[in-house]
Amino acid sequence: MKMKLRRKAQMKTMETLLILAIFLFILGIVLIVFTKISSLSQRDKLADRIQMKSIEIAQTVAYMPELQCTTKNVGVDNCFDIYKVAALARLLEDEPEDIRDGYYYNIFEYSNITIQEIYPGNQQHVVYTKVKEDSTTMRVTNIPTTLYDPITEKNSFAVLVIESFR
Amino acid sequence: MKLRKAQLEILGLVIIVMLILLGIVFAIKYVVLAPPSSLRQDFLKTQLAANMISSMLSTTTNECYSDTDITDLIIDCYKIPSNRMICENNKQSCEYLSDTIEHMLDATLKKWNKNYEFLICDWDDDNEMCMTGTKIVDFKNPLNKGCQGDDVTNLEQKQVPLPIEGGEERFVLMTICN
Repeated sequence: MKMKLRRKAQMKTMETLLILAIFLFILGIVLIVFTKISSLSQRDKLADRIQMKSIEIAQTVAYMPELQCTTKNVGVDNCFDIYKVAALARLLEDEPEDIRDGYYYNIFEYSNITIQEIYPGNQQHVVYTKVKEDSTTMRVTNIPTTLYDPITEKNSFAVLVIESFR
Repeated sequence: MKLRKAQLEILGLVIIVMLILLGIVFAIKYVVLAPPSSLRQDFLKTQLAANMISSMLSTTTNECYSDTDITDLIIDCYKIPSNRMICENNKQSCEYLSDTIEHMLDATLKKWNKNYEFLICDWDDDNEMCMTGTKIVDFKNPLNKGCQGDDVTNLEQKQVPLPIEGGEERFVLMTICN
């Protein structure tokens, strides 16, 4: 009788242990799945944030008086003055410490900003460049735009390319 | 009695497992398979369609008369053939216009793998199609498909009306697909 009772108790303990093992196994799987999901969503959020920053930069660039076309002192939407673009690019090249790494870094951070002419020419105008060496993520935003030459009064079809790094 | 107790224990275990599985299914549905941020996509699509049309129409061509832009070429293309301007390589305005627009679309939207439809015609809003015989430009990506079969509510379409000779108007339509 005593032997029978001990065996029954052992069986009970085994049963409890088995349930606990199964429960822990399932809990482990759930934890692994959630960790994977959370890391995926974090990566998506980061990519989203970089893309948003890229759009923000595109909007800022489009309305910068240093670059925007003007007619009788009124800014023209979606248009860059080719001479202003060249002047700003030269200024950033000549004064990299103060102007590029100071004032413009606060606005553009780590990014490359270029205006690529598509028609009639195919010239590339680099506006700002500051590459992050150890960057893991880069997002590109392309916005069709107009490049205006105020001397010949001709418009070219171009694309504003923003590459943002994180 | 003992059998019933064991059955109840198994039932409890099954309920716990089912609840956990339900949690996993919900997490996968709402986190992993969630669509990408639509605000950003919508903004880019709107910006793309609007900027594409405005930039294209204001572009000056070098090889027709001086100061001729794409808008002038479109208006000219609706004139009778003998009155149309002649551009470089003896191309008529219509042919030159078509080649130029194709080049612009290929170097941008097509290169970026965007699906689109670009039309110049007299647009019939009720039937959502071009009036017969008014179409002068029709480019689609993918070829011959464009936005066919896409969800209409997600399409981004921009229309620009252009006045042509005789007091009529034609439309430049740019549609960015889903």
